[in-house]
Amino acid sequence: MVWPEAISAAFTAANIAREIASGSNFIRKHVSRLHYLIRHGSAKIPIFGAGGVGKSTTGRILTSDRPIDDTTPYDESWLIEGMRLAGDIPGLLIVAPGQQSRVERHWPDLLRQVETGDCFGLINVVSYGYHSFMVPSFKEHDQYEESQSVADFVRLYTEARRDLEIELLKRTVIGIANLREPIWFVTVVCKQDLWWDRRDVVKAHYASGEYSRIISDIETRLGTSSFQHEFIPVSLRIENWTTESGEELAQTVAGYDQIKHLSHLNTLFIKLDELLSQGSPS
Amino acid sequence: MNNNEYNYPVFDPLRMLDLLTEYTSRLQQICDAKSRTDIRRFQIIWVIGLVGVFTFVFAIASFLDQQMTFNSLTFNFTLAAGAVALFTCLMLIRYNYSSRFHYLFDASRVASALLRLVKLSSQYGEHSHKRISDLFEYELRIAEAEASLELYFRVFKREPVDNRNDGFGKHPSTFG
Repeated sequence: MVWPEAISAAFTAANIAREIASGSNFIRKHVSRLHYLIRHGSAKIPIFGAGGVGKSTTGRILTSDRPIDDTTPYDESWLIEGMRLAGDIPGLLIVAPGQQSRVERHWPDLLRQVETGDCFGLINVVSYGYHSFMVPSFKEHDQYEESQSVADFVRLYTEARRDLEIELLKRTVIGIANLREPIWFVTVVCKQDLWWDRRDVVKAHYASGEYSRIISDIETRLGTSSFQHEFIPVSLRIENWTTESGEELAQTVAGYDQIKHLSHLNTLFIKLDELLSQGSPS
Repeated sequence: MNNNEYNYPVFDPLRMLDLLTEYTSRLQQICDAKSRTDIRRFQIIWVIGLVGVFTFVFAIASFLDQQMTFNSLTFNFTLAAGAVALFTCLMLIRYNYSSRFHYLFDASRVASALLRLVKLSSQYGEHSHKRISDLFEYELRIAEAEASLELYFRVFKREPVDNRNDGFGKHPSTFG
């Protein structure tokens, strides 16, 4: 399974820095192309994932003309969001609400749309369990136990949420199991700035763990010519993970600088640009 | 909800249920009132419009019948009646606009608060449900509130937008 590493020998930090210094043309070029495809093409791409992983942010960033300026704080989506630029008709990113009660209500319809061939690709957003929530304090959370440290809470919470990511992937995969049309499936692994120091563990979790097994199963079922999967690790923006009352649950990792952030973001745009240009995998 | 020593509101499921019920019913009432007014206004405009058309036709007929002279009493009477009908229509249309904005202001204020409540309740339902004694009723109230919000978007012909960015209606999201 492909796990793109944006920082490679071919793309040295110096090259990227030079590109960024020259007015971010590097990113802008791909953003405008992606923009064009979403605005004028027939792309209809649903975005799935648990609540708080970054689905709405992904949609916003992909449809924004200023993707690196997004500062909107986490806010729950209560209904299906269709994201497009004002005044444009065709081409839509459809963000499915991720709260468990809403999954029951909204996902079956969206998955039916995928199954009937209305969409030629779908995006599943995960974030290694770092799911934002709007409960004011972690001490109000079900996962919290008396005199638990922040680190312990985060460990237990992220573990539970990783299990949920797998559950929701299973649900998504069941929804597309009888698909007749070819489809591409992108897993966007968000919040890279929070797990950059453990990127090998994260890569192993998704690219060789149960997640990968589920993806391989559906690939076998649908056939490699009809199902194409990609991983895109990214940080949509760099920020510490805090609760509504300002308690810091996790900090951005030292060493994850702007160059890494922008180059991975660029990889996201390039990959989606390629997939959208290609249409369906056939 | 009370603030505790850490200065964040402590979740009180019963209070949340009360607020949800209160705002849902207020929004529902506004939507019902707006719908009733719309229907009534539509009926009145339709009847007056019909009277106006008949009056106009009658005026033209009487004008033609009297060898195209404008000085008959019947013609003047029907013309005056037509003018009154037209004036009433214009007044109703003007009233329609002003009352529509009156409802809209109230409704968007309540809907904005209700949307915030729905999101908070849903978050507590997902992340803090151990504190909720009757999860079934809690989810039922949230579903009612959401149905009420959807009704608001339909009745007021508003885009079903989100209130993130602190501005109800500023987010470029719509139903898929």
